[in-house]
This record gives sequence, structure tokens and C-alpha cells, in this order.
Amino acid sequence: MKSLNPVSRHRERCRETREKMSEYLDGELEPGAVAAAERHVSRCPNCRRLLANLSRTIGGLRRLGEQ
Amino acid sequence: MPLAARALPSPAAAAEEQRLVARAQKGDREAFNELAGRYSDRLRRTLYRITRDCDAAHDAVQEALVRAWQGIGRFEGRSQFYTWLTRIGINEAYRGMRRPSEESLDLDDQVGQRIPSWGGQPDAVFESREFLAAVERALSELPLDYRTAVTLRDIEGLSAAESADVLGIGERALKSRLHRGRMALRGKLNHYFSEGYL
Repeated sequence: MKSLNPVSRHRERCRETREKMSEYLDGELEPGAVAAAERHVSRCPNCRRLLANLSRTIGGLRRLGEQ
Repeated sequence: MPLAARALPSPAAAAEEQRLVARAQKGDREAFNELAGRYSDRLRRTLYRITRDCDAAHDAVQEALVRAWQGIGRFEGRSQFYTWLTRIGINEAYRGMRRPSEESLDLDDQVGQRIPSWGGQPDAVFESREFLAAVERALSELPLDYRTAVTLRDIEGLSAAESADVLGIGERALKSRLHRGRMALRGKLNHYFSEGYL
């Protein structure tokens, strides 16, 4: 398998983490995947912000349902 | 920081609903009307969010209630009555609308791009009517299949399994639509998250 340089590896982890953000926020990820997502998010400000923005978006949707 | 799940109906409310369903299945129109009265406004709101058309939503609710009454003998109680009714309503609403599979949305996953934070804005901003109105507007712009998945899961509070059941798709497909819909909404709300670029 072709090895990735650090930047490409980081972007690949961003991609993998972003694909799982909904399931993470819904509490539907396996513990191992949760740990991997949290590890990446703790090191990646962009993914941390994206996760926070996604969480606020979902929060807004849920408040619409409560109205 | 997983988000909290919605509360389920109380056991007493669920039992009461089962009694009404059982009576309706024996032909008790009054019991069916009681069920319809409980859920028709909620169903109309849900179908409006999906169709974006008041008349279409109203018509779909009326037709769904007729079909539910005709078919309640076949309701097996494996899901909640409202979930079953919603499935019928969505099928009615989809009639005459473009099939969801005909629409698509190219989503940029933004890997390698700058993602805006919420710029230190107070939480109250995200509780405001203005923000909720922007969420509603953004939702109306989503392709139908994403809009439906997000409406059922996040606004109606159905579980992933229930939402998939309503749409007649697998749970994996539902989760994919849901995630893409949520991400697209987040992108449309970027101006709320506009400060503090990395």
C-alpha cells in the first residue's frame, strides 16, 4: 500500500472523522471509533469547529421540533 | 459530546394508544378519530416541511387518514401508530412530487479548507428565533431525500430505525442521507459561524 505523507494522512483522518460525526453526535459509534474520533478532534482545530457547528445545527433542528 | 436522545412516550400513554388502536381495528370510528385528532396537526407540519406546500401537505394528511382507516386492520403494532401514519403520509406526499432519487447535491467535505467557528458567539444566538428561522429556511433548500431524513430524525425525533422504516430504506442508507443533509445544512448556516477562521 502506498504510504501517505503526514499532510495526506492528516486529511485522510479528517475525512474519516467527518464521515462519522453524525453517528458520533447521535451516540451511535462503537467505543473504539469514539476514541479515534475524539483523538483526532482534540488535535485538529478544523474538525473540532466543524463538529461544534454540526452539533449546533442539529440543536437548532431539534428546537424546531419542540416548537 | 453526543447529543441527548428524545424522550419516549410514557408507558401509560403508549398503553392508552394501544387501546385506541385495538378499538379502531374493531371498527370503532370514534377511537380512530381520537388517534387522528392527536396526530393530524403534527403530521401536517411534518409533511409541510417535506413538501414546502401547504395545500399538498393538507391533502396528503387527508388522504393518509383515509388510507390509515382503511388499512388499520393491517397495522401490526411493530412501530408506534404515529410512525406508521407518517409512513403513509410521506407516501401520499411523494405522489406528484419529483422522486427523491432524481435530486442530488454535491457536497464539499471541506477537507483542507478553513472551517468557521461560531466566533465566540453566546449560546443565546443559537436559541434565537432568527437562527431557528435560518435553520428552517436552509432545510427548505435541501434536496427532498435529505430534507425528509433530517425532518424525521432531528425534528420529529424518530430513531434511525424508525426513520428508515418510514422511508422503506435500510438504516445505513438513512444514516448516509441524514449525515449529508446535516452537513449541507451546516454549510448553509456558515454565516452564523462566521468569525474566528483558523
